[in-house]
Amino acid sequence: MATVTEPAFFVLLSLVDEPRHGYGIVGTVDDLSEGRVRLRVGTLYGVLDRLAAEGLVEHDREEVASGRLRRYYRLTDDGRGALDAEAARQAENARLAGVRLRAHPAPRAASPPPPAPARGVVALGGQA
Amino acid sequence: MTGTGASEPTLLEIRYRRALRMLPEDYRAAWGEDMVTSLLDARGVGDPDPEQDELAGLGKPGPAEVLSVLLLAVRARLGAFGASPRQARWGEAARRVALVGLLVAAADVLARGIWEVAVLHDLPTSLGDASIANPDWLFAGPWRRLLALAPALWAPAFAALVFGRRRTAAALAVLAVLPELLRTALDITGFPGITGTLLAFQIARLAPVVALIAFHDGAPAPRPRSWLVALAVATATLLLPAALIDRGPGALPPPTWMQLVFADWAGVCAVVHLVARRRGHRFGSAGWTLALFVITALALLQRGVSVADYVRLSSPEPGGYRVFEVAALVETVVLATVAVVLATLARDDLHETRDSPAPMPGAGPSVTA
Repeated sequence: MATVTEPAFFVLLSLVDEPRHGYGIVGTVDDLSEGRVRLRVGTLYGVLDRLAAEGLVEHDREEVASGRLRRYYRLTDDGRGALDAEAARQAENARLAGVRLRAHPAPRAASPPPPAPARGVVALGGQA
Repeated sequence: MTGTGASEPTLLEIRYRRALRMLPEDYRAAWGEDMVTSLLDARGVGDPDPEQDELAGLGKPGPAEVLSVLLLAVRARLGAFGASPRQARWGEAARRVALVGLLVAAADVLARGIWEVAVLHDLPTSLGDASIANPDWLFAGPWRRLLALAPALWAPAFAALVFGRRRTAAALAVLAVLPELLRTALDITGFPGITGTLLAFQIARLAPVVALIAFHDGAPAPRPRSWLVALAVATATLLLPAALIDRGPGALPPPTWMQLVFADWAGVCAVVHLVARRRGHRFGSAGWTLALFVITALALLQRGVSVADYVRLSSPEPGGYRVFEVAALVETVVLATVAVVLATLARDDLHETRDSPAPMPGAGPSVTA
């Protein structure tokens, strides 16, 4: 798999525990990302189309609910592997960022500078 | 609903199905029903409360959803995953049109910059001087500097594209093209007599920027080395005629002759392609035939319209410009002939490319009620 975009990452993630239908994936992605990734249906099917073509997700079953057909999708073994690899890559990136940030702390980041005295006010320690 | 025929479709469903007609037919056959279900689920159609269900069914598709379907339709028609071979061919051609268009624009600004620095011993200034109208309020002070610099963005836009940074390339290309569109709008207002020429040039400039949408996720990346060599050759091709013949006191300024060379380029590339096609060379592939047809058509539009404007507006007495008119007319006829040949070949290629349905994910469905 060449690249895992953020929507594709969350779609794969949403299918880890069980197969889901289209709107189920949208809702799960919304929950998992705490509202940060909101998939539109056009975007979702663009992602599903790509993941299916790459063999990372596949058709699980169809059910009829409220008079409509719902198609369920499941994660393949390759999809699980791709998600695992992407998670490891992101974890390594996060680890590197943490190491470098700790090694180079921002100067004077620990204590904020004292507030500047208001204009026209004589600072303490001046003439009494 | 239409999926099972259990009940009449709601107004919202009818509207969603209408929106999904933007998708290619085979794509719709593979994904359409499921998309309708997801769209209706997202709007709460099928709610156990009959009142809520009925209310939801009367709604209109949200603009964001329709936009996402529109973008999906464009990507599907330009060869994204799941597209048919014919759509993949269009996508391949669109990507080449984008690459060639940005290449032309990048070579143009590079050649102008080199010419002005090396020959005129001046800082590049003509980049933003294309406006004939030149209103003071816009072409003065810092605005003038910004507008003068904007076309220079074509070069990094092209570089970003060949190195696989498609979003950066698109952003830079839009920033480069917007001032040109603004100038064109001003020129059309000030000089309505040459509206056709101005529009034709801007269509040729804008088309590759629009074609950048074909660089979707999963589109193959260009080969940087080949395209960078092409940029060097193109820049040299633009500078060569000026260096050889165009140095006299009455010479055409760089912005003029740079634009004139584009039609020659397109014509020469198309002829070379036709020869390569006969010999089975890589440059003679069917993907290039379609791309070069679009490029040649754009060049023909530019040349044809500008020649017509030129002949219409030029002085009737015989003079030195007669040579230019004849050369431009010959160029137009050659381009038109090549365009017809390419169109015929591209049509046959597309006809031979059998459409196959978009791949369905996984095995056949097992329906459970």
